[in-house]
Formats: sequence, C-alpha cells, structure tokens
Amino acid sequence: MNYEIILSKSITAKRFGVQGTVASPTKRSSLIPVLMLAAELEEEGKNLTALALRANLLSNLSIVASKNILDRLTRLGLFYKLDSNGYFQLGTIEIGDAYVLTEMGKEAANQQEIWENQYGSWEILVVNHPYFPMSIIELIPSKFAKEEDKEDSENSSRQNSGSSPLPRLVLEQVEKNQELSKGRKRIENLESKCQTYPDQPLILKVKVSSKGVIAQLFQSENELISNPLLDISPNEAITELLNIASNGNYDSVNNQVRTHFDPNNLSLERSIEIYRPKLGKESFENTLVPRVPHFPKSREDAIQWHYHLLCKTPIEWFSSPTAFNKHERTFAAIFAPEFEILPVSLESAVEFNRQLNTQFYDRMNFETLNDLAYS
Amino acid sequence: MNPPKKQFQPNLFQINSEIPNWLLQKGNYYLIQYSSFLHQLREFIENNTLEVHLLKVDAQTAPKNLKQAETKARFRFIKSPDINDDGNWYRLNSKRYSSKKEGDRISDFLFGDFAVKLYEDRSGIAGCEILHRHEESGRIKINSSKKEMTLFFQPDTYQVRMQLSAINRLRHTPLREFAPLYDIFGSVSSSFTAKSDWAQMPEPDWIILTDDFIEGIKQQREFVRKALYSPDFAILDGPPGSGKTTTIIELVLQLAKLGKRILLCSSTHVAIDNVLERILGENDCEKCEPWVMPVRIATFEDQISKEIVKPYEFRNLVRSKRKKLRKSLSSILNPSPAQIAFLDYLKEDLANGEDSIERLILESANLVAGTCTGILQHPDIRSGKGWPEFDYLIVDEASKVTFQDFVMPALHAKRWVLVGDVHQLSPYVDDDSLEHFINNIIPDEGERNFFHQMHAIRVEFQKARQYGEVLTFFGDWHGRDLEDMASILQGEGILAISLLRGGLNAPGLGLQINSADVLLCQEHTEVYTFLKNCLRVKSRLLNKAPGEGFWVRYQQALHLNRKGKVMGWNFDFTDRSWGNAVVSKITQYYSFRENSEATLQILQELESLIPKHSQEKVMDLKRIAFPSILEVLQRGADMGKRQNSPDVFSSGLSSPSKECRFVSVQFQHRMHPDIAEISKDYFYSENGNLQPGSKMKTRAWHFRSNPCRVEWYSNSGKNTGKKDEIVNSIEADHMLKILCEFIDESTHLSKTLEVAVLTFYRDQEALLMKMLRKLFHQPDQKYEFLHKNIKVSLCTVDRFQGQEADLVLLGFTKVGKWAHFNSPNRLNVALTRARHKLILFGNKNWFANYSSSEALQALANRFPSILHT
Repeated sequence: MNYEIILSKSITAKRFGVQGTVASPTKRSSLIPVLMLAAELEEEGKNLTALALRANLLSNLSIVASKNILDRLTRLGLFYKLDSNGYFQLGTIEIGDAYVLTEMGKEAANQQEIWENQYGSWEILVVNHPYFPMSIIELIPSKFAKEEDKEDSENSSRQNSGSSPLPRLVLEQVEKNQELSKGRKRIENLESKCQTYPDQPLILKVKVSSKGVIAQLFQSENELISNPLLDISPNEAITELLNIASNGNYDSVNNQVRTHFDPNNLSLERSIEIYRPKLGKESFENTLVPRVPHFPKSREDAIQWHYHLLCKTPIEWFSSPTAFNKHERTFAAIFAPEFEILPVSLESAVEFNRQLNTQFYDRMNFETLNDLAYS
Repeated sequence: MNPPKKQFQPNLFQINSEIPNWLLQKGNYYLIQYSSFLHQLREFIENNTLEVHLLKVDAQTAPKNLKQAETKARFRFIKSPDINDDGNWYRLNSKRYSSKKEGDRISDFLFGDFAVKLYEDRSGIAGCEILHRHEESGRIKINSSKKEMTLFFQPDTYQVRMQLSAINRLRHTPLREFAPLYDIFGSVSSSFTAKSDWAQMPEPDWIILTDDFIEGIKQQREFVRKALYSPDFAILDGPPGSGKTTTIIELVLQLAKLGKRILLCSSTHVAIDNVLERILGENDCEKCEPWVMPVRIATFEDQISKEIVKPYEFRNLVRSKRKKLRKSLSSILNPSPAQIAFLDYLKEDLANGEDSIERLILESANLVAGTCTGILQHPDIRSGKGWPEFDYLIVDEASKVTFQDFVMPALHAKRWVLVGDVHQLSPYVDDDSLEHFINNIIPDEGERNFFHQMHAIRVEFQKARQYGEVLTFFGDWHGRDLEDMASILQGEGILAISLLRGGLNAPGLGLQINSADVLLCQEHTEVYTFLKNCLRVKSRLLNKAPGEGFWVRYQQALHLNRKGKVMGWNFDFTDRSWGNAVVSKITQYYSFRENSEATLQILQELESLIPKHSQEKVMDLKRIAFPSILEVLQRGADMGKRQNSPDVFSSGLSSPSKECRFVSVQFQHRMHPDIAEISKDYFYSENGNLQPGSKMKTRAWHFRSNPCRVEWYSNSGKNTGKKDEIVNSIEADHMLKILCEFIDESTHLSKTLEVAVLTFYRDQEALLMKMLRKLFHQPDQKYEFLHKNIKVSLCTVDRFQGQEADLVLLGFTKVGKWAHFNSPNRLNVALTRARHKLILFGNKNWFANYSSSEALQALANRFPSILHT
C-alpha cells in the first residue's frame, strides 16, 4: 500500500540579524577558463604562471594584466602562490611566481563555477531541531543602505532588541561551511554580534510515505524553506503510527488494519485518525490517514460483514466508485473464495444487473465481468 | 554640539563596525546634514527643466573635426544599441538666451560628465538622444533634421543620487574599514590615534624617486613611506610644481609591487591624465609597465585630455581586447578545453551582450582612474554592489574635492591618500543650487524680501550718515507696520512716514523728517506730496521712488544754484533676490577665508542679511557645501556656533595625528624664482613652502627674459562690455599683441612651447576666443590653438588649475576691491602656472594703491611694467 501520512505541528524559529560574507556559485565567469588552464597544466606536471596565462589565453593583454588576474584568483582562495624557487610565497608579486590550484580552485575548475562572496547584512532563521541537520534554515539579504532615508520605518519594522553574541548553533554551522539547503548559499563568515528579532512561527510537516520520511518547514502555507530527507525507515514509521492509530491492530505484513465488524461502517477502506502521533521523540498534532484497508479481525466478523455487504448495492460497499476496481484484489483476499458475492434478493439482483449493464459498468471501469470475482 | 533629539539606535552594521556609539551619533549628525543638502540639490535639479535653443550646423560648413569626433567619440557607458547614429550637428543658438551666463550654464550641462536626453516638450515625453558631441567647437549631434528648434532637458541627477546613496551607506552600513571615515567627525584628541611605524620599516626600492640630489626628494620619499604604512589617511600637501604627480606615480608603483589595487581620482580630467600620461609615456613607461595595468574610466572619450591615455579608456580597451582575443584564440589549431571555454565566453559576449571581457579587464587592472564623477561609471560602483574592492584610493587635486565627492569612491577603498594644496582653488559650488537651499531656510518669499530690504537699508544707512544725507526709503514693506520696521532696525534717527497712526498731520513731523537719518515711507501720493513740500535737506531716494515729475521738482528746488551731482538714486531690489545675495556673500566669504580682514567685513554683512534664527543654518551650509576633504583634514571647516568642543571636521587633524600621515613638500621645480616670489611670500610663508629648486634660476629662456620674469602690461582697467558683462577689449588686444611678439620670436625654435592665455572671467574668455580663432584662422577651436611649434591654451584661471605653460599671459580685466581675483586661492593659482615668464595685464597703479589684497599690492609694487610702444 502506498500510504502518505502527513504529520504536522507548529514550531518557532529564532530570527537573527547577522552581518557577514555569504558565498554563492556563479557559472558565468571569464575567470573559469583560467582555472581550467591551471588544471590542464597541472595534469601535465606544470604550474601556471603569468607568462603561461598570457601565452595560452590572454595573448593580447600585458603580462601585468595576467599577473593581476592570477593575484585576484589567489585572493579568492582559488590559487596559492609559489615563488620561482618553489616556496610558498606572500608579499611582493613577481613575474616568475607559479600559481597552484587550491582544493577549492580544483573544485571550481571541475564544476566550472566559482563561488563568489557577498558581504552584507542578512536575516537568518535558526531552528534547533533534530530533524534539521542545518540549524540555519533560511537566509535573506536585508538592506540598510538606501538612497532614500527611511531609517525610521526600517527600525520600527525590525523591532530589534539590541545586540547579542552570535548563538553557538549558528557558529557551529558556519564552521562546518555547509551549503544551505535553499538557494545554494554558503556562509563563509559572520561578525561576532547579531541582533535578535522576534521569533518566527513555522509549520513543520513530516511526510511519511514508502519513498521516505521527509521533514518540511514552511514559512507560510506554500512557502517551503527546508526539505531534508530524514534517516528514518518509512515502513517502521508507518507501522508505528498505524499501530498507534489502531490500538495495535495493524498487520504490517499485509498492510491492513484488522477490525471488528461494525454494522454502521461497512467500508473496507477507511480514514483513521492518529491521536497525538509521535515519531521518535517528537509529537504532532492529530492527523488523519486516508484510505487505510480494513480487514475482518475474525471469521465471525468476516461472516457478518459479508452478509451485510450482500444486502447492499455494490456502490455502498466501497468508499468510492473506483475503490472496487482498485481494491478488488483485497476484497477477494478477504471474502473470496470462501464467500460468494451474490445478491440475496431478486430486487437487489435486478438492480445489480441493471447497474452492471449501464452506467455502473462505466463508472466502475471494470475490464471484464470476471473482475467482479463472482459469477 | 547639541545631541540630536532622537535616541540613536545602532543597527547591525553599526554594532559590528566597532565604532563607538557616540562617534556614530556624531557622524550621523553631520551625515544627516549632507544627506539633507544632497536631497535638496537633487530636488532642485529635477525641478529645473532647461531650454536648449539649437541651430543646425550647415553640413557644407561643418568643421572638419566634427567628422573626426564622430569616429572617435565614445560616449555612453550605458549601452544603448537601439540608437541610430544618423543625425545632424547643432550648436547653441546664443541669441535666444537672455544672458551669456544662461547660455554658459546650458553649455556646461550639455558638455558635463553625464549624458543628457533632450525632450521636445517640458513633460519629457518625446525625446531625442545626443548621439555625439564636440566640446571644443560646442556642437552636439542629435537625431533631428530641423533647422532651428527649442528642446528641453533636465540635467541628470545620477551623480547626486550616487553621492546620496554613499552618504546613506556610510551612515547606515558602516564597515569596520570605514571607521576612519567616521573619525573625521570625532573629537580632535581621540580620533586618528592609530600610529604607524613607517620610519622603522625598510626603505622601498625606489623606482621613480631615484635621484638623491633633487631638492624635496626626501619629503617625497617620506610621504610614500607614510602612505604605504598609514593605518588610514595619508596627506601630501604640495605647492604648484613640487612634484606631487611624481610622488603619486612612485606610490602607485610601490603599491602595485605589493599587489595592491588602486583607485585614482581627481576633480579634473587633466590631473588624472597627467598621471596616466607619465605612467604610459616614454620617460617612465619602462619603469611602470612591469607593474601597472591602468584603466581609464570616463563618460565620454573626448574628456580624456591626452591622446596616449585614450586606448586605455575602459570601453576602448574592452572593444579592442575582445576583438584581438577572439582572433588569436580562433587561430589556434588544436585548442585546449580551457581555450575552447574562453572562446565560448567571448562569443557569448557578443551574442548576449554579457560582460565577461569587461569583467576580465576590470579584474586585470590594478590602477583604475577617473574623475570623482566619472568614476561613478565604473560598473561595480554603478551597480552599488561590492565592498572595498580597492586597497587604496588616491585623490589628486584634493583641494577641489568636497566630502560628498570624496565619499563615493572612498567607500570602495580601504586606505585613502589625499594629494593637493589647500592654498589653491577650492571645490566649485553651483550658485543656483545653493540659492535653492538657502531659500529653503526661509521658505516664505515675502519674508526673504523683507530681510533683503532691511539689509539694504542698513547698508545705505551707513553711506547716508557718511555723506550727511537723509535716506528716504519707499516700499510696500510686505505688509509690515512701518513703526515695527523702524524698531527692527534699532537705529537712531529712523522715522516711519505713513498715513497710519496720526498720518502726516502729526505735530512737528516736518521738522523731524529733516533731522532724521532714515525715512521709511509708505508708497502713496499723499506721502510724496508731503515730502515734496517738507523735505529740505539732501536726500537719497531708494526703491520704487515716485515719478519723474516729483523728482525734477524736488531736485530743482533743492539743488538750485548748487554744484554737485544729483543725489537721487533709484535702487531696485528686484535685480537680486535675498537668496542670491546670501549666496554671493557666503561664496565671497569662503573665497576670502584666508584674508581675515575681508572675512570679518563679509561676516558682518552676512549677519545683517540673515535673520538671527537662520544664521547658524546658513553657516552649517557653508561648512557642508564649500570645503574640500583636504581642507577639512588639514584645517577643518570652522566650528559651528553651537559646537562646544572641536572635532576633526571643524578643526582638522591634531599635530600628533598628522605626524605619521602628513607631509608638506617645500620645493618647487616649475617656476622661475621671480614668478614664485609673491606666492612664496604671501601664500606659503607659514610653512616655508615654494622654495625654488636650484636649477630653476638657470633654465634657458628666450622671450623677454630681462629684466624680470614677471612684467605688467597696462589694460586701462575698464570694463568695456555691455551690462552684466565683464569684458576688457583693450586688455584682449594687448594680450594678443604680446602673443604675436612671442610667436615671432619663437617659431624658429625646434622645441614645442606652451602659452597659456588666462583670464578670471568667462566673458573675457569668450572675447579672447573669438580673437584667437581669427588670429590663427582656426574658427572651430575653442580652448586649444596650435600654430607651428606653439601650443596656445585659452582658459579661465579656475579651469587651468593643475596645468602649466612656459609663458602665461594673465589678464585681470578690471579692478575692484571684491573682484574675483582678490581671492587669495584664486590669485595663487593664477600666479603659479608659468614656468618661464608671466605677463600680467592690469591696472598696476590701482593695484599698488587701492587693492585690498596685500599680495596684489606687492605684485604691483615689485614688478616692472612693459612700456607701450
């Protein structure tokens, strides 16, 4: 069965104003061929120099122009520099200096993208939750410098509550130098002080399905801001949740809930409510799992169920007109071959027949009469 | 200084900048003033639609060099591929303008730094683009074919908007690196306290400053070392010809050697191009080439004054390099993946209008140069993104760069080097925009007129007392009670005459008016009649005086059988507005700031002109609008009245702060000692600057080398122009005569000689232009004339700052205590341009006896006249 159980709850994120450098990748840079050239030369066991750059790519620019470009890339951390004796070098630049790709430079040459830094002020949302490996889940540039003087309105809207040291959570993540899940950004460094703004309410939704367990954070109804796949077995999660919902009557082998006969609810597919579901240590709001197959718990239940079903028109047997087709096999597994599904009265037989021959046939979309599993 | 009323709440940048709160707050106080000033300036420009009257230049008679201009001129930084280049050349139809000043103003905007769009109506809907322009001949090319037309334009506010944005960025997002910019607003004792151990650092290998025996080299080297290790600012104060440009070049090279990126700015294109010319030119090219890759940023190519610099103009570089790189990469037989990728980028550039090559050029340049306004066309500065991209900002001619000009490029650098001379001209300030700001201080026009009248009365009152006259003032007095007016003036002997309060029948009024000093009279026929019958003493009648009949009868009765001039005089206030009068005085005050006697007198007039409650606002404006960044740091911009303690902005850097940041060069290598003498004695005596280099006296010179290198030539000193024009045709004739003599004696020489024909007045410049065009048969030239080996530059003194010539012909045009040339800074610039010979055209006797400037008196007394033949 393909269940999709959605668990949700409200959580809050800490909101901070931070100042620092954030890197994002750019593909369109004329500097990439320089990195590629360096990688090509390194494969041949050679190092890139200003002369080599000029000879291979920038033939019409001066040597000093080539040197400046290499120096620029060194400042971006993509090269390190060796002097003509092969020693690591700082300070004055010389024509004979060789430039060697750093790991970052190699990656940039390989990926053909350069991470460019942007310094500024940012508003970050931070959550401290086991489902989210990155505590910073959103980073938005905030602008202070405006041509028009709008200081008053800016300050009032932000309602800052003074400065404080950066939270440890944030510092840890910056140290890890991880790429943020949204928008391909990486925080390179942050200033030591931040401003604390009022908490931001968020909606946490955990989608449990056979594909996996995904924790999603929404800022508003449709604005998804984080979407990590959790390291939780979906089958175990489903079993646990449906077990809770069915008071331990969930048959994980057959993916069915075993239930007693209830004359008021003959449906073989039912929505079941999970009261205060828990996943790991986290509890969520009550949730409804739709269309869970139900199976008679005992033979007595099955007899009674069968009898009542035969007294009704097929339309009422199932939760929806297409359900029969979809769950025909389940139905057969429950009742057939022991129970024949036949109309018990002439009236119902006539009606059943009529519907089979007309719109019922169309609506049910049966392929053959044999699909009904009775003759 | 009173703290701002609003509680200061630092934002994130301000918290992390590590600038103390009190300093942020104080900086905020000043920056708000700048912001307000720029806001109003922008408002003024935006609401100021100008009329451009154009006349089509006949294609047959169009000057040849216009064609050249079409092929050479590269205008816009903003790509406008849709512009069709077909159009016609036009010139300003000067006859349509009411005054020459107005025409000049339009011309300044049209040929200014920013491209403008001309509109067919005031609403700015239908417009035509300026396709090309040729400043030298004053022509523009637009996409129209009409013979004559009037178009409208609003000058671009881009520069002001960028300045405003920079001020706000500094205010709201100060980085740690910008802390020294805030120090400018800090107290003298606690700002700029960081020290550098420049003297302990190893001396660099000098590249340009190699001659140990040149006078002044020690100071030049000291400055380079201080600048290299300065924690923030470095300031070089150097008189004309003292090797400031050479020092800048050495500094640029030393910084480039260390892998630093440099932004070079100045107020003038000439100053920038002088540095680049030296870097690219024959003499120093070999030394500079291994280190420097320059890029010149300019809005228009024709602004670049040196041919050698033009290929390095950014757009030209992009264009030429893109083409050449494509060609060379395409010719490779087996290109590597890197080469293929690069070629793809180049192709994409052409297809999509992307800017990979632009980026490559910008990344490869370690010296980016442009004027403080031109540099705003730099793509990164335009986009407003990015933080300090340059390690150093060097500002040449910093005495002409205001704080608001400085701050935009300054935010893109981490260290700031200022080079200039506070004894030379200060920044140009536009009178009209200043008047707009001044008027906003007293928004009610009636109120302004009232204060203007009050001032005029006070001025005339003094004169009347001196000559024993009764000052009879007529007016409507803007609805004010005359008795109140009399009390405002607070002088003795002021009598109000009106039909109110007993009117003209008050007992003894007839006697009183003849013993009063000032009569404030209501404009009414009964009052006229009363005066006619009762006034029996000499009187000066001012403002809206009664009709001619009254005049004649009055004069006849009063002056019958008496000798002397008619005493009546009609003074019309409508000639000038209050704002205009204030601006004129405040400008004068600033120009004469080095002459304490003159400033005291001007200050008194300003106090009389401006009501007390607004005086501080006007003086605040003076401190914001006028001083250069160099002057602010060296001397300060004056203390405000409300200010309790001195700060760097008001009083300049303290001596301990200057120790590791400041160098003053004393020797000059431009002028013959005779030429430098007056400036040395009167403008640089304080620091002992302007000492002549030892070789200055022995340099060879052929034209009128004896007896003295400075001579006077009489010009009669009379203004021969029309109303509002300052023109002296006799002087112009004499200047040309001397010029012709020089040409006759010099054309046989093999070397190129430079002559500068300088004047203080634009009207006189226009007259000289006409005459020079005729003399050299070069009708299309404006400022530059070439005759064989003689290059003649025509210029106003203000524009010629930063330039020099072998022979300078300097015309004073007129005489006057408050004339333009009395400004010490302007006079200093004028007197320090000549290398070998300076010939002055003016009324030597008048200057010797009546001039208010001691320097001018000395100039007249010390140097001989050329005898007229």
